[in-house]
Amino acid sequence: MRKISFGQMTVILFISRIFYSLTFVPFMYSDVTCQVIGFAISTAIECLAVIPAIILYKKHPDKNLCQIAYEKSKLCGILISVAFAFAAVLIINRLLRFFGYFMYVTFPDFLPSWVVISAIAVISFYAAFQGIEAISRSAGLTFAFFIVSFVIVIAALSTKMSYSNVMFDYPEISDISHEVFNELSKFSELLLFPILYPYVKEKAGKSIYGAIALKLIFVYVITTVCVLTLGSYLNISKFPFFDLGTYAETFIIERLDAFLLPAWILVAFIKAALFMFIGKIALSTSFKRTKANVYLLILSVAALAASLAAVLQEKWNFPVWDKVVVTILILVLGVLLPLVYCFGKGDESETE
Amino acid sequence: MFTALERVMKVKRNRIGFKRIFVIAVCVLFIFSLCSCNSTGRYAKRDIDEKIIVHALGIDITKDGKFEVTLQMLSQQGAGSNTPIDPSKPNSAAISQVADTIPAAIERCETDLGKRAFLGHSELILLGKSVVDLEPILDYVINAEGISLGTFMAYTDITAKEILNIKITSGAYSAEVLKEIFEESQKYGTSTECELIRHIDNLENTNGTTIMPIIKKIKDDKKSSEEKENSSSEINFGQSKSDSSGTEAENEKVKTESGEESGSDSSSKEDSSSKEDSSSKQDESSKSDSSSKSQSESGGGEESGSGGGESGGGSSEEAEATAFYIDGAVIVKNRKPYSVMTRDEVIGLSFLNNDIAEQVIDVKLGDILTGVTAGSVDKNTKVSVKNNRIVVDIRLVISYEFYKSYTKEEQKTAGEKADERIYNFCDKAIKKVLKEDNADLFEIHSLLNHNDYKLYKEYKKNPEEVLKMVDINVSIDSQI
Repeated sequence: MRKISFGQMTVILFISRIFYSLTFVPFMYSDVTCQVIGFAISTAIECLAVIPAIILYKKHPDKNLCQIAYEKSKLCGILISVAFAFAAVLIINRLLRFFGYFMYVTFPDFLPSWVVISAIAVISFYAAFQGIEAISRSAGLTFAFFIVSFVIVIAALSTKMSYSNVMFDYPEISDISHEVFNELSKFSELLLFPILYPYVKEKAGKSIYGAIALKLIFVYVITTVCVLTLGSYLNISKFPFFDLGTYAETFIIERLDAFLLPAWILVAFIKAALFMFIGKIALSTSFKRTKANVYLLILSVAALAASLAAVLQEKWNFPVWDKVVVTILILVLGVLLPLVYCFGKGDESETE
Repeated sequence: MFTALERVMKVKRNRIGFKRIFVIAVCVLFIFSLCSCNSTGRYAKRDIDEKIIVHALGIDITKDGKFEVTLQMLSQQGAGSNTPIDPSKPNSAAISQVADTIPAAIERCETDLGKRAFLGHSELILLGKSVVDLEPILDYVINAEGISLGTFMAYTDITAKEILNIKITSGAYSAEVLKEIFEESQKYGTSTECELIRHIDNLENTNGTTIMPIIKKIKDDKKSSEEKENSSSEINFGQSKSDSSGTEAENEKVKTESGEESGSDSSSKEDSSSKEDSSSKQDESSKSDSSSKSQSESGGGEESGSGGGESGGGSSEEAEATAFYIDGAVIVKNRKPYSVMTRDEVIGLSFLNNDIAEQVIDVKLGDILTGVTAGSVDKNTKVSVKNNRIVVDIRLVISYEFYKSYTKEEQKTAGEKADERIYNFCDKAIKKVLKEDNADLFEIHSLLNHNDYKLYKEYKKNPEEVLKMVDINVSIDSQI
């Protein structure tokens, strides 16, 4: 098994998480104060939620959650593998639809959304086919590109920021809880970690905390820049982060959204590839007779077909059940099951 | 033995390499075929010459309440093949169309040209004085594809069509020149901030209040000397040029004095003719006369109501205006033009909002008139509640520079006189904005939000009442 470093793991988890913050910052649903508080609370919960998975990693550093479950009970192992694959399909579907919507809104005459998401699905399939090493290398490049484009945009916007754009509001408990739930429903990296940790050479536990810390920093930076620059326009903006790009200008280039778009596409591709990969790993753990790449193909086709069905009909609104089911799957597969399996004896190669 | 093993390994590696190349090739082919399989209808491939890059968008309201949209675009005749600009030809062309809605009018322009309009590079959205309601315009520009948040949005004292039809042979293109005028004026405080995002922010926070600068055209010397005789004029914002019924009842008639402080060429002939007739507010015949005059004077030369037709290419000699200037600003309340600020008031407002980079103030030292450059360095604002009044203390730190070497005493005297002038500007702005128009252009909402949340809540409920309670005190700390 080819392993990746602690830094690569941190980067892939961060890249996977940041996708939602780029594509969808729903200021239009709650005010900035609630968002800021919500981010802090959800991050604290996320830090607690990863503890069972980290304990599991310490006890079984070379086995993922599906392997551990399969060894204890075949039926449980199969069920958990299928649940992981189902969650992966749902998350890829969600991601492709988000991206399709983003392209539909921001570049309506450029290419049909279904072409864009199909292309992303194909590339992601290829990356997942190549394995975690290929994904992590691409993630490294994506991270570097993202940071560079982000810094350029912020530097270009620095003269346009004003403290008078900040409007505070007394936060309501209901708004904050709504925000926390929203944030947690996006934390699908809880699903990635129990499957991916055997691929990390060392310090896998620290990598997820690193990713959470990076996410928190970036989300706060993005929020601060958005608020200082866009002011109340945030209330009506669909993609505030993208609007930063359209508003930013240097003395050479009039708008910098072109800098952000490639970073965006790369982030979407990495996230889709990661979930295809964990789906493949989960299924191949329990169903060993068939080649793992066949599962990869099935998962990719299923996710793409589901998103194409929605995108072709231009159905952009997600049903409530989708969010609820994804959140439940994240909590069950990412928190509850690791908690169940972290009790008991560990492997010989248990880490300190 | 060893070499045989090496060969086997090499063949195996080659196979893996071929397999990888094959998969990549399949992926690339698949993506290319995806991109080319949908090349009709909305997503039809368009070369750059099949698109019109719109640089400025003009919006007027016709007498029957329809939108007349003018698109200013790059004229290819004005751009040589070897040189970027052919100065002998005008570098912009404009097309206008009339329809019930803005998108419909733009669509008509597109069908007239046989090309699709790309608005992503628009630098300016110009509103004619006949624009009564900003709501449909904002709805369009916020949701339109690609319009940048940094696009400037301003009013003109005539029609947007006239301004955008004026041919300019200098500068990259006409809209860019217009944008530069706004930027320079903003630097000197004679124009307020007019980026689209600032308008949206103001309108969202202040229950539909914002301020938009007014751009006017300077005519040739002969005409401008005639105009100088008429130093003040009346401009009716929110009235269609030849509109004799409809909208005037709901709009205030407002007055602007344009010549007094600016020293620049004053308003256009039609304005002065309208001034002559303006003693009776409802004298519509004068407006009709003036509008027909401006129609014939304008480079476009098409009748507002009829719309249509590209005006550009080689008709540069028709253009009579040589430049533009900013004079005053329109206060928008409840998303409708409400009143007009003079140049002095705008300068005062710019000082108070710390939006000014520098402004040359004329002061008299003995018998000599001299210019003092005032640059706004810093602004300190305090909010307090005294005797049921909201007191906003604004302390401006202003630095002065002189064009001549003076003694310390003379510098002090000049500084004091410049202070007086700036106090005067600020007083005028406060009186106009706060006392007369009761408009929130001093970011009162933001100050209350940051300093007194209870008052801010009150403000959100009833901004008009809270604004009546506001007093602004200005103090200037001058640095020589």
